[in-house]
Amino acid sequence: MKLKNDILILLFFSIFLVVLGVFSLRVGTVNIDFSDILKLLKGNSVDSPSFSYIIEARLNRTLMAVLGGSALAVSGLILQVFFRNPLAGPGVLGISSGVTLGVALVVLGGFTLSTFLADVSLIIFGLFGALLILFILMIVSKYIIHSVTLLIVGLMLSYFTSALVNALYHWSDLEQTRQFIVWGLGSFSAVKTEVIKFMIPFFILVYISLIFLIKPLNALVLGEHYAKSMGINVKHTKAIIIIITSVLTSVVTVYCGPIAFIGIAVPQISRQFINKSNKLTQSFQLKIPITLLLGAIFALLSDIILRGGGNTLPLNTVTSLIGAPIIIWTIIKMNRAVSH
Amino acid sequence: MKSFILLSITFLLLTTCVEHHQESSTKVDIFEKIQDIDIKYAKRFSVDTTHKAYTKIEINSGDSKYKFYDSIFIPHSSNYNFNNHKVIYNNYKNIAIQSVTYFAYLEAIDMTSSIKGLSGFDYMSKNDIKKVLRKNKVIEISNEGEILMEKLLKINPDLFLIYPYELETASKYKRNGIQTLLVAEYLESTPLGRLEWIKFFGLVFNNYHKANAIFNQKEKSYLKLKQAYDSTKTLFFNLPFNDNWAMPSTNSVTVNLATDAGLSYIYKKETSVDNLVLSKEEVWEQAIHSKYWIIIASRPKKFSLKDLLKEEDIYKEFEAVKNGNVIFCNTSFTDYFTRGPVQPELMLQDLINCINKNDTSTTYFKILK
Repeated sequence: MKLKNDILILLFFSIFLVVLGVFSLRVGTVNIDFSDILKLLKGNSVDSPSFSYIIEARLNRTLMAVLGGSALAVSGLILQVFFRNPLAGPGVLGISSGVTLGVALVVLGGFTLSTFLADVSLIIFGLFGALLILFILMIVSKYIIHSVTLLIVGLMLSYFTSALVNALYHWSDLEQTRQFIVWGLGSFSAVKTEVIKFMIPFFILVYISLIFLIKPLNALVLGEHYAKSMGINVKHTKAIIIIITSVLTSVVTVYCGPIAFIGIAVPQISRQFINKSNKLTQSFQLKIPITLLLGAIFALLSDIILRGGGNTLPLNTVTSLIGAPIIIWTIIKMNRAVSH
Repeated sequence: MKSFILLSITFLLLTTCVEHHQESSTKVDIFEKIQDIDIKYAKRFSVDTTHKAYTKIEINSGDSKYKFYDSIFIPHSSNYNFNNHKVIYNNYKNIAIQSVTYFAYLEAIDMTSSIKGLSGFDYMSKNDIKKVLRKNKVIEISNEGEILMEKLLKINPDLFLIYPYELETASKYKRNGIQTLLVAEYLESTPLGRLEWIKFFGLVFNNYHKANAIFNQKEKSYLKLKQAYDSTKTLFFNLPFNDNWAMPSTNSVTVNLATDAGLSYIYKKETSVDNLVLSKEEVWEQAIHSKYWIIIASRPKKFSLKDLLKEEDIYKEFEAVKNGNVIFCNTSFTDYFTRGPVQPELMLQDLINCINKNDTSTTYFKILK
């Protein structure tokens, strides 16, 4: 019965996401009727030539919000298990800052790869930045006892990378600065159709590969020793976790800019919907899909609020306004648990 | 021991008090009175010649949301007591400027060598200007737009020309013995109004006749070039920033310049003095059928139409793109910010040439190909 309830929750979120996605196509400063939207989605033309481009742009940003939100949320969930800290996430641990440094090296510093790799320079540098921060965190985590200390280390790494970015910013010209500022504001709207076409199968593949992480993650929740006793290759699992979270965070950050709070807040929300008395639903078998769905909903809802308000606020402002109270509530809850 | 500590503290307090140098002299330089000062287009400054003892220049905010006022006197008599009013001196040798746009006016009246400090080297494009400034050992006085007081004090300028929005910090400069003067040329709404600020600079730096002659000659050229308004030649401006697209105010120099070139701005009914901030979607919908597209932006040196089309797929559907009517001014590689304010006739000629598909000898604007 309890399992049935959890499946119903999953189904509810799936339907809600679809409805939100359809509604998202209607939200914007130009009013386009549903009949026109349907015509355009079927490949027919409408009276206004701009409508097809507007709907294409809205569809792209809807899909990007879904992919980006789910990717950051699931990365946060995995990192929270990996570092055994409910406040871990790509932003808090400094991984997003690592990607920012990578992007800054290309945009502000003019670093680029050879001609045939020039187009993917941003992704490669971003990924390199994310991996660098994760490796530093892994090394540091061996020498610290309290998990909160790791967050402070992540914060320090963020400051350090920010300082490097500021130095690059100072030496760059106006055009480079403009590009970097626009990117730094964060938006799901900068992604074009050809990139989305590549992203959808790529993200689906990564999400499918998460199936192989369910058992190791279930074991890692109870500690490394327990995982080892269960026959889990902890070393391999850690490597996979680093690769998956780095790839997801860097791809999303490179294309959408650093987006705050989704990675840390959504896993907290998803925990509220998971039945704590049922062992099966406590498993990552359910945690992962719920987090994926809620991440997508959180990001899409933020983007809809943003568009509904006339695009006057940066995306990060909206995600922070929703995410920050959730984190404060989590910290209070953690402290209560400790004091009890 | 107690008295020793007390004495030490007293000594420290006394020695750490820094005395700022204050201009105490009441002696003023006397200037010949110019009677026929006619301000025809500029709205943000006025000249009062009615008093025998002085000519008064007033700088005002007009209908701008941000209110400001400043004034400076040109003394014509040594008998008049100017008290704490700002007065013009005969020989300004150290000037600091907060905007690179002031450079053009100072260059026109041969005051370049007096510039010792400048804010915004990054906004200067051409090397020849930078070379002149470097030769004169002009220093950058700001960082990320913020004035660095120590650098400013190092120059110790006779006069610091500042933006009106710096009015609140003007008292800080005054405390440090630096005289400031507001310059509001960028708030003018017409190209000739902005050019007319050359008379302001001419009055302040005692070279009015030259300034007036330059203005008259440029005004004549400009009015001769001015085209009849054509409502079919629709126009929109610039590029989006993130999800928003800022269109210049109908009351801006840019829009009036384009109107004088015979173009019809699609947002001309919006009468606000501020820029019109629209969403990308709105502009896509409203500007797709515009005949002309003027872009004034900072882009890489070889920025082409192909590069523009890469920014958004919809641009290829724009009528201005289809008809080859995208007119571009690259602010990073032209003197748009530095010499532009005093060359409206050149800008107008450029626009007319681009409209006539002849941009071979243009200075500021080119047809984007």
